[in-house]
Amino acid sequence: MTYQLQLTQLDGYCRVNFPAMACLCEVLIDTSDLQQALALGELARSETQRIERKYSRYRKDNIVAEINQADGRTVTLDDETAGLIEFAAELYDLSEGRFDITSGLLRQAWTFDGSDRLPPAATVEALLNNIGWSRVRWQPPQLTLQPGMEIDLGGIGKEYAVDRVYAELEQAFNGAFLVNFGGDLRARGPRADGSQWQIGVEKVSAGQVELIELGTAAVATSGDSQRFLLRDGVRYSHILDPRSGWPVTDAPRAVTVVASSCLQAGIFSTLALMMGSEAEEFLAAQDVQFWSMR
Amino acid sequence: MQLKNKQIGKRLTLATSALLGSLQAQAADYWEVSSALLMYSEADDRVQAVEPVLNLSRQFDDESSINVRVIYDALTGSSPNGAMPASVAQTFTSASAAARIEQAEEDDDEEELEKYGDRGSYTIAPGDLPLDPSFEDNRTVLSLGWTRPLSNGYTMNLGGAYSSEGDFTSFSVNGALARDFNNKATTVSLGLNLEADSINPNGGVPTALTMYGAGNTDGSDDTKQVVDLMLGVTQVMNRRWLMQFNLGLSQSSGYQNDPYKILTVVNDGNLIVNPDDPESYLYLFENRPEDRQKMSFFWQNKVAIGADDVIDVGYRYMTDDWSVNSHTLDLTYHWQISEGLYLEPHYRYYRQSAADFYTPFLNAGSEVEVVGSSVTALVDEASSDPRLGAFSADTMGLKVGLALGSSSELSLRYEVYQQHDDNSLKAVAAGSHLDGMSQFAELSASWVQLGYTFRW
Repeated sequence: MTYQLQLTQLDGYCRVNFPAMACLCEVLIDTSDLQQALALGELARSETQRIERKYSRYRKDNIVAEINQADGRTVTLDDETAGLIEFAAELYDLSEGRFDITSGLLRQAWTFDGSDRLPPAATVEALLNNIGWSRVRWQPPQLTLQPGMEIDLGGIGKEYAVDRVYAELEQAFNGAFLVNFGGDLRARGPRADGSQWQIGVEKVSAGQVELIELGTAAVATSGDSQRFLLRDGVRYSHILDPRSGWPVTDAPRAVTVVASSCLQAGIFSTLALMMGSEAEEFLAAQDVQFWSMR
Repeated sequence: MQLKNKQIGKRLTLATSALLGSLQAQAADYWEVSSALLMYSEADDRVQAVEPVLNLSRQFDDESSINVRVIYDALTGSSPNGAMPASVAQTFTSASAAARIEQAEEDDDEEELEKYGDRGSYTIAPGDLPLDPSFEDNRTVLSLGWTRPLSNGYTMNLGGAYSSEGDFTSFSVNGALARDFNNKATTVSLGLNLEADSINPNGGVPTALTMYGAGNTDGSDDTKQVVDLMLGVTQVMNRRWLMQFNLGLSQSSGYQNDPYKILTVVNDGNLIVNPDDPESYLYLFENRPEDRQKMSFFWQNKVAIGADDVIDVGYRYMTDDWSVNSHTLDLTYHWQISEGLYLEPHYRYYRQSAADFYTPFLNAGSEVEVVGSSVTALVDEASSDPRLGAFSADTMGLKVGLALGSSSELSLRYEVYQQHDDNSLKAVAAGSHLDGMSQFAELSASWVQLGYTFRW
């Protein structure tokens, strides 16, 4: 993907695509004015790239790298980062430890390639010494990690970007639009002709797509698609439980949730997967619209 | 509760709003309307009040907001006139009722005459607390507030209030400036309130410490000015604990008296026959200093517990140059039973010391000189108003709130209040009119408030 930005005029609306956040980012804008669509698309792209630069764990020059290389020193965070860390801290509490931004280290032990290669228990056990939000000292805006610990905002980064871009477009444009980053999306509707944005959701079994009409709402999907391990008939999803260091079993293949913001939809769908066999029961208690594929 | 059954939606929404900030908090295109009806009732058929309250607030695109509040009070019943209970019957001539009767006669208003005709004078049975039965007032309060963010983390607040009742009018303006520090974890605010009151008692402003019934007045009205200065610090201790400190200074000058409150004058514990009117006894109108300076300190903690429960603990200390010092401890627990139902038990303890001029009655000789028909107070100030006495009080209450859909709420609150006399007994001669009489009427009251909040 070498292109920077692609603008397409469709039936009464425009589509802007750009590559970012390791997925295809798409913005649909309910206008036939190409200049306007381009300007809004560039606004969306620059905000997305800003967030990616600032929070990607693959870069060495951003705040995430600074925190992870602090080696026990205290890092004072800017407002936006402090807000994200505070949000993550609340999620840790809300999910009773299931959502933990310090759990990224587990990737060193687990590779989900569809094989049956489980890591030795001792390897996982050793990593757990450096995992756990409760070991972190967080006194906003000051964050202190024990040496060896790391944070990774990947679990909320894409959803955060969708919501931020939505907020930018909302300020700049009065009409309907839809921000879709690889299936995590948020829309404002209805369109000028009265219709709603239509999106496809994979139903109970793969391949069956149900079209739903989305007004002003957000949708996020979490799933293990091709990323899993299979051993002795047990399917290990790529969703790891930071409390044990092991993958969740009996999780649905994919969960799609509708909520008012992309972050909320994403948290609900991720937490549902972490509930394993109780995913549907958990979602039903939340009073949200959802689809679960097993 | 296990996570699988626990509703996390509300906290997740709050956390998301905090993260996405003002950009997500879209300007609400509705008014938030809170309405409530308070029914207040004192024991022994004393004051009864009905108070509807209407509060409207709205947020705008630029994060500014306005608030409009209207309160109407209808008070009826009997209020202590300040005289002591005695072992003989006492007859009082109510200045306020007399003035109303006079006005009604002038206007030929039969309805008013019917209402007050038999209340011009009232007789209190031996041993009973003297209560003026003509207590009746309607109060209307209108207040406006406007808040808007300025640049550099400052927020400005401007407001005003107007309050009016039959014999009292109050007008005030206020302004405050707040600033956020430490990534909004600390907010410091400084506020100023200026109040101007005008008092025009029924029957004129009685001349302080002169004989009740003699009709000496100092004109028909008087004024009072109050300046309040407040410094506040709000600190987010962590994401579950909010702490607030307030320091308040208040300077009040002008007419501070209650124009309807009198004091019994006794000679060795016996009532003295009024030298001007053999049908009644001797009472003097009260008098208080013209200035009052108060300082208060307030400390409050709000701590989130579990999923949605909140404990709220507050302590307030107030001291003034009348020697009234008070302590208030307030505890509220917000118990979120389910998404749509909560209970709020509430307890408050209050204790105050007496003003240095508080006295349940005056002694002839040491405090009042009575020579023939000449009556001269030897004290500069004196009041038997129980609000200036030493007492402690307990308030206990329970509120039930019920969410009706996502944007409206119905609530019902019930509270009981009980005062306890903490004054030392003023010496009374054995066998006299005041011997064995209560020197402080402990107040018992209860109130019910029905509230309904919705979007409009």
